Order: sequence, then structure tokens, then C-alpha cells
Amino acid sequence: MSLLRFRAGANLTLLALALCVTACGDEADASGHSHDGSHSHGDGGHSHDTVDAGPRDNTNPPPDGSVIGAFQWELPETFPRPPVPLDNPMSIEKVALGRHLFYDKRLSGNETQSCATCHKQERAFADERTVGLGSTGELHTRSSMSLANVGYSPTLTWANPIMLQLERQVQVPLFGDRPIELGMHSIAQVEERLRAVPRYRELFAAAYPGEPEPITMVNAQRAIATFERTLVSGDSAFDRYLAGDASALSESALRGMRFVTSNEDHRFECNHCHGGFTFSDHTVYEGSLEVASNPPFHQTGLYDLDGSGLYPAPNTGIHDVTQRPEDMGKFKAPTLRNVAITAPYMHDGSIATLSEVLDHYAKGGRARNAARTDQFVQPFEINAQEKADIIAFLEALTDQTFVTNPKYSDPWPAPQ
Amino acid sequence: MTRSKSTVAVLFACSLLGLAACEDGDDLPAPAPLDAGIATDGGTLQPVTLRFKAKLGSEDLVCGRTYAGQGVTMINATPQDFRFFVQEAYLLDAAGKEVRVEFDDGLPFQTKDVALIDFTDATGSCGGTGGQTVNVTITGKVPPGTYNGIVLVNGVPETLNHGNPATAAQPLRAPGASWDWLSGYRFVMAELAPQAPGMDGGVPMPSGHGDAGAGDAGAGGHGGGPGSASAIHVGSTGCTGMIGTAGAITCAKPNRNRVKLTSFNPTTQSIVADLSAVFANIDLAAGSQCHGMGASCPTGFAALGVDFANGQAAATQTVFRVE
Repeated sequence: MSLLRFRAGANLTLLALALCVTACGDEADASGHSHDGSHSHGDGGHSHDTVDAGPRDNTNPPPDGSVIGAFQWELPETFPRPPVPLDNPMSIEKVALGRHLFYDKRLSGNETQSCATCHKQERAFADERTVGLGSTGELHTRSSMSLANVGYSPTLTWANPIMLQLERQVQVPLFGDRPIELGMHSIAQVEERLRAVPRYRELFAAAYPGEPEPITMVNAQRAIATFERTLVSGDSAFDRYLAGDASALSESALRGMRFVTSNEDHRFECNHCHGGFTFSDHTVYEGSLEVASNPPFHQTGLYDLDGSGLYPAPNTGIHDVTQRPEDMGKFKAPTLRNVAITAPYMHDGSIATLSEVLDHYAKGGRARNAARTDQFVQPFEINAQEKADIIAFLEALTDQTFVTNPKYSDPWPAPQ
Repeated sequence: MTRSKSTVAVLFACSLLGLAACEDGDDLPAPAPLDAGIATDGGTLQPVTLRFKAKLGSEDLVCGRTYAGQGVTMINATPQDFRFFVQEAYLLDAAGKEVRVEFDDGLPFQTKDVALIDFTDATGSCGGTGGQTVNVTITGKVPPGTYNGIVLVNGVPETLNHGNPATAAQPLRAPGASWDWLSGYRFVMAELAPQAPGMDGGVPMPSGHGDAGAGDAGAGGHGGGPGSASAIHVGSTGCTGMIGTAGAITCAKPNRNRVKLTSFNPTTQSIVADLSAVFANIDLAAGSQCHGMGASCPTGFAALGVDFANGQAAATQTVFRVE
């Protein structure tokens, strides 16, 4: 195939560009980004200020005097930087602190769970359950989302159009009681617990030098968010193929790649919602023309309880937050990266396998409502080979480096 | 009755500084009672204390006690939570005009902007919700005058309602007082837990969030379902915008009430909040959940004086009265 004959990375960069450009849906926002090698800083539309990128060079730290310690992004060549709020710049010390907090079971009321309980590295920081299970035995109504590339997501959780800050999301599992997740009682309890741990005395002082009492809830949530921003996944077989390794994808996966990432074949058009380097249309990055106040959510025809598109409470999608009838059943399109290891699927884990996911989309939604279901979710014909090809490609999005990288693992010494 | 200039000056200074000595009046003539009709002296304010009491029907609320005849199915139940924020209070003067009470600032349960009334003391089934300290008063200042009546608004002012609790001052860091996923406060938190048949009053249920063991989905949790506590939580809903950016969230349904009690003497009477009335039309055996939304919300909201359908203050309420 002529596409595969290349000299340097140039043709593959062009291929990547082509893939990305054709992934541009009707949304005029971040899903239509282009890799032009430079950043535009005309980002007046940002919901939060970002650190100035400078030249996009992964070996030089950003020219930002407020960075403590020489934090350097270690990103795949084709990835832009995640946006970072001005009031929470990256630092090595904050990443270390956040990583300790992320894996610390003392951040649950009964000390049986940490963030990592439901966000396991070996599952791309998701888990294997249909829905989450809290520290006191209460079931969630939705499944744990993968935190791979969460720093690039303009909203957090499955269906919350107003939760735009990673720092604020932390409080939901910590203190939420609908259901009880980590089950911490109060901000005061968090601060008390952390202050009693000598290791945190060191870690917080290093991350927030000069503060007389650095062990505070707000500093903890900033550190956890900082660690989460470093969870970048971009070393799958697909990425290696883009970087020049022609053998990285099988013939089947290559066919699947075209089905998923391009619109050559109009049947699938997965990339309308699962496009770009994050394989999601819910993407912002440093310098993107982001529309943070209106990120897309989609009704994909999973439920229609009353003939008018009703989804079962409390999982009514963003309708749960906005209470607007037109928002019924609309959810975020999560990343397809690592999808092969993050079964089961959908917000409530109600689809067990990738094959059944494709069956659902082939119907235009297993409970399609023509008036309500997203315009890009249309019924299509697909044969067994094509299904296998798509699944082969989706499997090629698994990033083994990410799920085994020691820098993301539990930093606490094993109990003796 | 007149005052010497120096006395007035001291009283004025005392009022501004909220000094306790001024209220004791050791070295000064006692401040005139609010109903003594003292002519104002260009800005002198009088201290006032608004006192609250929690009851279930005619009985005082005591955490750990069992109360019979609760809810529409008339079962035994025990209080699990009863707290509410008050963002505004007005005393009604002789002409019926609303005169705003300026809240004292910087106290454990209140700032000038908002106060938290907390009837729970962490015993019995109240263990998982509020803290250990009960707070049943709001202290503040009003111009001297004759007052008979009060208007109260349960809520957190919109300028503060969507802030980060981690950076807020008390009482906005209160446990379990925030809907973190909506970035808004729970203006009213009312919960009653059913008591199993045969249980006597005073037998505590397992405590709630944070301290419970595995599998304790009943008291404390809000999983709903038979046997678990019923909850009425009121807060703003239908929200759009951006959490984290100041002023950037608007909620289609504010869900703030406006309770008017026309016969109320602040020096001799208390405002009673009746937890039974919140749940009067709710089936407590079913573990009904109202978290801004839920099947039991319309009636729970109505009891508290909020119109669930439009999110505005309702004209009537059944929870608050004067005794």
C-alpha cells in the first residue's frame, strides 16, 4: 500500500494530520485540532488560564518562574501539553505528593480504599466492575472512568457539564454520600489525618515551601490533580505505527484503523465522538481553541424507557445536573485508548464486550429513539470480518507502557 | 430617656466591635430591650439573638431518641440529621417593614453572610452527619425598635454558594453540607431513620458516613430503599456554567424559601423547626431520597416553603413556627 511507503516520519506526520483533520466533526472545538508544530496562544476562550507553552520542546521546561523544581512533561511527540491552571503549576514535588495521596487508604473513612482502589493502573486507571463499589459497601450507579489522559478532559465524570476542574472532582469521591465512596466525613477530618503522618509533613513542605501549615485540603486536592495530569497514555501499537513502525499494526488492525479514524467509509464515523489523539471529542490542551463551557455530550440510544428517550434515574446523563429535558440521556464519549482492558462498557457497565458494543452501534443504539439519539449514531451493516478488524484496532490502542510504568505506581512501601 | 455622650459613644463602639462585655453590661447601663422604643441616635444598633429549637411534633428533638407516628405510615423513627443554613433574617417592625438583622461575623457557626443552625450532637443516629457541637442561635444587630415577627431565608448566598468548601470559612466547611458534584451547598439537611419494630427509644442506630463498617448502607448512607434513612436535602438545581470560576454558575432553580412568622418576639420566643413536619407526607419505611431531586422532593420542599416545580419560595410552609 502506498501509504505505508515512507522515508522519514514526514509522511506519517502527514498521515496523522490527515487522520486528525478528517476527525474534525461538526464541533468547531478541540476535536478539530491540527498538529501544525506550533501553538496558537490566542486562547481567550479558555475557562482557566494556562501556563505559557513556549516552544513545544519536551526537553525544556516551560519558561514559568512559578514552577518549583524542574518539572518536565514527558509526552509522546504527537501530543500537545495538557492545560494547567495558573494557580496550580506543575512541580516534581507536587506530583510526588499527589501520587502518595492517590494511593493512600487513609483517605477513606474506614481506611479500606484509596483512589487507586477504583482507578487501578493495570486497568488504565479504571477497574473491571460494571459499577463502582464504595468503602462502606454501597454500589455506585456508574462505572469508574479511566484516568488515562484525564488532564486533557474539559469536564470530569460521565455526565457533568459544570465540573471542569480536576482539583474539584477529588471532593466528590472523598465526601460524596450518594453513594458513599471514600466516605471521608469532613474537610477537617482529611486535614487531621494527613497532619498525623510524618511522611506528609515532608511531602507537603516540599510541595508547598514557605507555607506555615501546608497540610490543607486545598493543597491536597491540588497535588492529586497534579499527579493525575501526568497520567498520559500515548504509547500504544497505534502510536508506534504513527511514529514510523510499519509493523506495529496487523493488516486487520489497519483496516480497523481506517474504519475507526477516518470517514472514508461512512458507515461507522466513530471519530465524530471518539476522535483525535485522545479518541474522545471531549478534549482540551494547552493552546487549544477550547469551548469549555459547552463541551459535547451524546445520547447514544442505550435506553428508552418511555418511548420518549427516558433513561433510568439517576443515570439520566447531564440532565441530572441541568434538568433540561433536551439533555436526557446525554453522556460524555470517553477515550477509546486502552478500551480493550477497561471492560465492561458504557456509563453503567451494561455492555460486556467490544463485540456487543459494535452490535449496539450497528442497531443505531440498542434502544434507539430516532428523535433523541445522536445524529451520528445511525444503524449500519457490518460483517464479521469488519467487526474483527475494528476490534483488532481497538486492541491496538492498549498502552502497555502506561499500565506498567513504575512512575505511576504505588509509592508507599509494602506493609511489613 | 437620654444618655450621656460618653455612654452613647461606648455603646456605639461596643456594638461595632460586638464585644461580649457590652451585652453583659457590667459597667454600663444595660442595653435597652428591643421593644422599649428607644429613639435611634444616628446609627446605634442593638444586639439580638435569634433562638431556634428542633422538635418532632410537640417533643424536643434528642438524638438517639425514638419518636412514634412519623411519616405518612406513622412509624417509629429517630433523627439522623437536621441542619440548615440561614442566609438572611429580617425582623418585622411595628409597621410590618422588614428590618435586616446584621449577622455577627467570624464565629464558629456564622459569618456576616450566612449562619448554620445545627441540631445534631453526634450521638445516636446523628453520629454521621454534623459535628459534635449543637448550634441553635444566630447573633446579630438591628436598629433599636419594636419588633414582632421574623422572615428567614434558608440558603447560602449565591456569591458563596458555588465556592470551593476547602477554601471557604466556617460554617461553609461543615461536614456533608456540600453537593460537591454540583458545587453548591445543601441549604437544608433533614433525615429521619426508621427504627425496627420492637426497638425502644434511645437505642442508637449505626453511625453514618466515615465511621461505618462495610455494608452499612442504612443509617448514614443515602442509598435509599426500605429500612434506610429518608432524606430531604434542599439545594439549588438545574445548574449550568463552570465550577471553579467565580460567578460562573447559574442555577435555574434556586430552591430558597422565605419563611414569614408574623408573631415573634425575639427576646422571649424561639423559632421552632419541626422535623416531623418535613416528612409528614413521606413514607419513611421506604427510605425516600430527595437530594434536590427525587420523588419525595415536592412534598418535602413544600413543607419547608419551597415550590419544587419552579424553584422559588412558596407562600406557605409547615416546618417553622414560634413558641
